[in-house]
Amino acid sequence: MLEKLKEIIERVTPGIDVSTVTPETKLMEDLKLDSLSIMLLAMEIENAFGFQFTEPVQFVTVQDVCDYLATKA
Amino acid sequence: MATYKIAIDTLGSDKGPETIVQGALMALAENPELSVALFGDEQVIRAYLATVEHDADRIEIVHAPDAITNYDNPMEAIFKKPESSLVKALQALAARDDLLGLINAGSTGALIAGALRYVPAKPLRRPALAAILPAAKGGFTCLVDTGANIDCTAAMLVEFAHMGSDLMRECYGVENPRVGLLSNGAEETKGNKLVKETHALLKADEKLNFVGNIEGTNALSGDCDVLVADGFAGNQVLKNSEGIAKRIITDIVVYGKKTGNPEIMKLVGYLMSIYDFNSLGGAQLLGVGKPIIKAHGAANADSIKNTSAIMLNVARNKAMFDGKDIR
Repeated sequence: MLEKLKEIIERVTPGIDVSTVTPETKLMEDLKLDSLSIMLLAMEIENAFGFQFTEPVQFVTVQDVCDYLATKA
Repeated sequence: MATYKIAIDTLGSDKGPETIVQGALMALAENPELSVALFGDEQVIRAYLATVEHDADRIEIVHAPDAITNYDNPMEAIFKKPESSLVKALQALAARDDLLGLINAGSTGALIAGALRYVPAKPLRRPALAAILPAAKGGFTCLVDTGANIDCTAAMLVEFAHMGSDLMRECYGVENPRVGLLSNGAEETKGNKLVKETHALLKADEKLNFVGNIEGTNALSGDCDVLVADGFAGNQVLKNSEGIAKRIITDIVVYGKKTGNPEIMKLVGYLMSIYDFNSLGGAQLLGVGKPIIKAHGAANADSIKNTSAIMLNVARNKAMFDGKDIR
């Protein structure tokens, strides 16, 4: 899951260094993703995992995304 | 016979829905091939229409009285205000083949977020805002990004260069658009870390006609057709240019009134026709699935009319929005 998320983060923000991304990494604080990037991330996740968010995403860390995706599995 | 239909969001602008509808009517009067779908409060729109002459056959009204304002959180608003004029207009744009594009003068953030949500490019791309500015040597310069992406990577700026080049080639007839990179010096060695990294990538990209760094003083010189910048710097160039033009024109007006020379006021009219944002129309949102133009929040009716003309031009040349690789 983490590796797939890293791929998606890299696609959303090309040129970003995802080699140091861990579950504890904060999306906005550490990766400097802005709100537009978070939205792109959400849409890439929808495409990759086959569902649609019905409300704004509130993820803080990579682990938050993983936990959310686990509920969709 | 109307051939091109565009959606216009009448809510969310500084000057109110009546001004937007007035601009739409001016656009209809100038372009017989145009028809419009007006999204907003039907009662307000009809009340205004009742006071002016108009061709009702070319006007569709879609009732959506809820507005997304600049006080709303853009990302939340597009989920939490599904009945808003903006969300309704974007959903219609995505669903209806007869709607060729959308004009909105409301919240920029909500428009970008909403466009990404409801009218994304396929495959998904990162949107950027492009302002088409008059160049001193004639023609136009496409400044991209003017504020959609504040923090950028070099790879993102390269993508903006491609999208800007596509726009200038497909919609403005520039065969091989020259791409410049906004920097604090023309030399290759100038710039911050981002600019230096971007310079190297642009130079190596064989699909782009990269002509090097461009200083702010030459942003509107016409030395390039596409000027690439991160959204923060691009927005500064745009707002600075607007502010300086306004200041100079104001000074000339004062001088004209003092001297009473009618030629001075003619000059003011000429300069306003070139540099006033209402004359220029809006900024185009690139990287989305259909043409979308963000008009100035303080747009007057003239600005909406001029923005409609830009939209018509884009709609006639919309290969870049058809999901084809046109590079």
